[in-house]
Amino acid sequence: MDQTEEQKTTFRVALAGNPNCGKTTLFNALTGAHQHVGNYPGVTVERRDGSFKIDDAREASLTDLPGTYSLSSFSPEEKVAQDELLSGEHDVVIVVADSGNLQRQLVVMTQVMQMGANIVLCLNMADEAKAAGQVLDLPQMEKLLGVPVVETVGHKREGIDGLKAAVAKAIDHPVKKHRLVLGERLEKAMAEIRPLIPEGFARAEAVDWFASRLLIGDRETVEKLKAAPKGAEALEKIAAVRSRLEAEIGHDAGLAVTEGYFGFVDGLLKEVMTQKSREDAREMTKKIDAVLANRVVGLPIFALVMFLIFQLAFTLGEPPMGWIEGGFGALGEWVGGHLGDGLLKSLIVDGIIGGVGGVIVFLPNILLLFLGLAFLEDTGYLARSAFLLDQVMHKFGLHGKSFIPMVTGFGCSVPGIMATRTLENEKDRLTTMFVLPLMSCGARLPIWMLLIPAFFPTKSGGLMLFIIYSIGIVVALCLALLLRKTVLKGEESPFVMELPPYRLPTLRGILTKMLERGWMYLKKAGTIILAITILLWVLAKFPGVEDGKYAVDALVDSGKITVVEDPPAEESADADKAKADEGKDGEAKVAAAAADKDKKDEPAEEAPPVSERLAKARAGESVTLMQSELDAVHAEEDLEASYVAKIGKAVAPIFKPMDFDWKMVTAMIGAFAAKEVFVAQMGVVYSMGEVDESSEGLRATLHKNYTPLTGFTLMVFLLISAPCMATIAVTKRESNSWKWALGQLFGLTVLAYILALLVNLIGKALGF
Amino acid sequence: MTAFFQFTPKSMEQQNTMTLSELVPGQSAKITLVSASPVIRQRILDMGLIPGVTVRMERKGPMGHPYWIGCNGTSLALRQEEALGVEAELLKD
Repeated sequence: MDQTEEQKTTFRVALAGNPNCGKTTLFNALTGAHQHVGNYPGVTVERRDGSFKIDDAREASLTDLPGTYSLSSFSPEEKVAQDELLSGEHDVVIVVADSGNLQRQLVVMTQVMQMGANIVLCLNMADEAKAAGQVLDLPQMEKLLGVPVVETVGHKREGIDGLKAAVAKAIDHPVKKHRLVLGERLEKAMAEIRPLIPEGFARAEAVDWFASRLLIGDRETVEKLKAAPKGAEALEKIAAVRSRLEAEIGHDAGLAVTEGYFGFVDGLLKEVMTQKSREDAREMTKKIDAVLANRVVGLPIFALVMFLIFQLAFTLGEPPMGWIEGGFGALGEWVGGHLGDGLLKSLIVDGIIGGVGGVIVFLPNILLLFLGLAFLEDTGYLARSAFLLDQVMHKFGLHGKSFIPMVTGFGCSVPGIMATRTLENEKDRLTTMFVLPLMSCGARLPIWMLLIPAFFPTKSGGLMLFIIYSIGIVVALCLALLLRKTVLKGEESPFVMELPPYRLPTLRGILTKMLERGWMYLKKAGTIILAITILLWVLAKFPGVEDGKYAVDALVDSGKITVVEDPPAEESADADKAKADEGKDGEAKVAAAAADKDKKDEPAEEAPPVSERLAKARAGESVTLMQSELDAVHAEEDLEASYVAKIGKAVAPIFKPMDFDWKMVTAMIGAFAAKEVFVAQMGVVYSMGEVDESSEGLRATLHKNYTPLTGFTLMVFLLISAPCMATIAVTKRESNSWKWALGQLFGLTVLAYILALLVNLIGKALGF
Repeated sequence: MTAFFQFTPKSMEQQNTMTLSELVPGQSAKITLVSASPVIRQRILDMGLIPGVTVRMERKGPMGHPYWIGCNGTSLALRQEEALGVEAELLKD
């Protein structure tokens, strides 16, 4: 045994503690892994694994347990944490506590002590507590608890070496039996219960935990004992011990045990806290809350804050978008110049560069939105918003805690749905999960960025974005209420939430969070979206019209259409766009564009649209087409003969009442796979049929071909309709049933259809 | 018969006893009894709202609730349903 211990070089270490104690930040500091860390109770839901070097010879595999206020197993997180800790598989359990709130934070430690874990106590955020005037006698604390105690400042990476040293110490000198005293009467009762627990029922070190669970009559533990040999007999005796204790102390055993935990912590702190923090330590937080959490101005301020974040994401993102757009335009042109005309060039330039570029171009907006949300999370403002909004959420059958996953859904539905694990009640959770995709996610932002400027003036762009997001929220709330009144009737879970003090987020903290989420988006662009873009390109390119059989060529041959060379490119709004816009003989056009720059305000001489001229030609008149226009007509004929058009046309009649044509339907097919593919697909569909391939050109095309009402109807449909594949998959996983996942897929699509139709009909009736 | 008195030892006679939801912002009270359904009760207790603890009603939500309770230097938000399950004795300033 000793020998194997010595040979062992990898040890299992777990992090346990309250939500919001900086556990995940410590996890990052230890492992160097980049993780999502929040300032809202309950954000650490998923299990995180990593590893770090304890010293030169030893390595630790680290598990970040869900943050819990206790381990009483009412919530999924508590259950997970409890099971992990009871498994006894961890060589060391680091109990993390916020130094500024030890009275509550150390309660988890008392429970971990009962579970017989080999503990290192880590007092995090020590700098804040010290600044507030709190003084702790650490040597005395170590002596009383019998475990290593260290101080850390997670976000500044202070005390990490000390923590590692303490872990090493705990491995070398494990302590699994702890001196936890819950009070004389409780101890007496527990002493009577301990021998009643049959051997093999639990790990020997964790017997105290089971004794206290049995004393309070925890249902799960009782059921387990009932099934054990002589269990029923033992339970009877335990019940007798319980009634006697309750008669003695005048209240129930459950309260007595909780009081015991708090009492132990109080006693400990009396011994080791040589100076309490000053009364006015939270003065700043109180002053800020007097405004931000104010009954009257709190909500308007919150609305303003959200609005500003969206507006900022919209306007600040504009210049870098131009650069990216220009960059991809130049790349497409450069690649195009080095490849001969043909399928490969079309695949790379139109399919891959056009498609992926069309998605990446929205990265600045998405990063800015993520940055804003990370800031709100890390300052502690999100918890205040949950306080302000709970009553409204509650009215719609949701929970104040539903709000955070839903806001996360603005970034991406997938982490949002995973964050619903913070909801204890199954029905709260399912409701939140079901309606969460209605929160307009980051992947849908590109769609709005494409469509809003195409149909609405620039100055109302921010307002339109705000309206779209608001529609999502309103529909989500109504749907939640409907669900709670019908299929998900039932009790809601308790709402007792901690409001942490305001903290100035570290730049590293919010940037890490922003980049992580941005990276997830890019990875999606690089993998799924790339694959789908290629697939859709193939569907759009094949089978195509056989060479020489274009309908338009017959007209050219018969002399009805005269083909002329293209004039030099016209200058569009600015040089960047000109660069991105032109796709053919590059250098000459750039030069021409530069030369023409001065005349950009001059209206160009407008020939009738190509379609009109074609109609005339068919009617027998003679018309002129430029070479590029002829190419576009060829491409359009190719597209109309493609698979994707066949699919789009087959489905399009369903969408006839909303005035969506088969091109839109084709792009929507892409959106089912991943929302941002809509933009890429629109790009592919139109770049093949039109001369332009940048979204500016696409916007102009859309503007020309559809009314703003159709654009708005399209946005409503895309907002509400079936979430992407990844969301469906995660809903299946999290709800553990296909019923909810498929319900989401079909239910939301049907709802989207009905609402889009209503919007369209009402819009028409109002004369839009 | 005796059980009744064991579980609600003093709530009936005490004049100053009220539920947390009745506190006006600015008022402080000492918790005397937590009597909600088991799940809610355990959560309330876990958060440190146990008999003997002094709490202060800091503010109420925009539409009357939830409640913002100060307790041991930290802040908690409680819904009306939960606050109704916590009895407390009003403290004079």
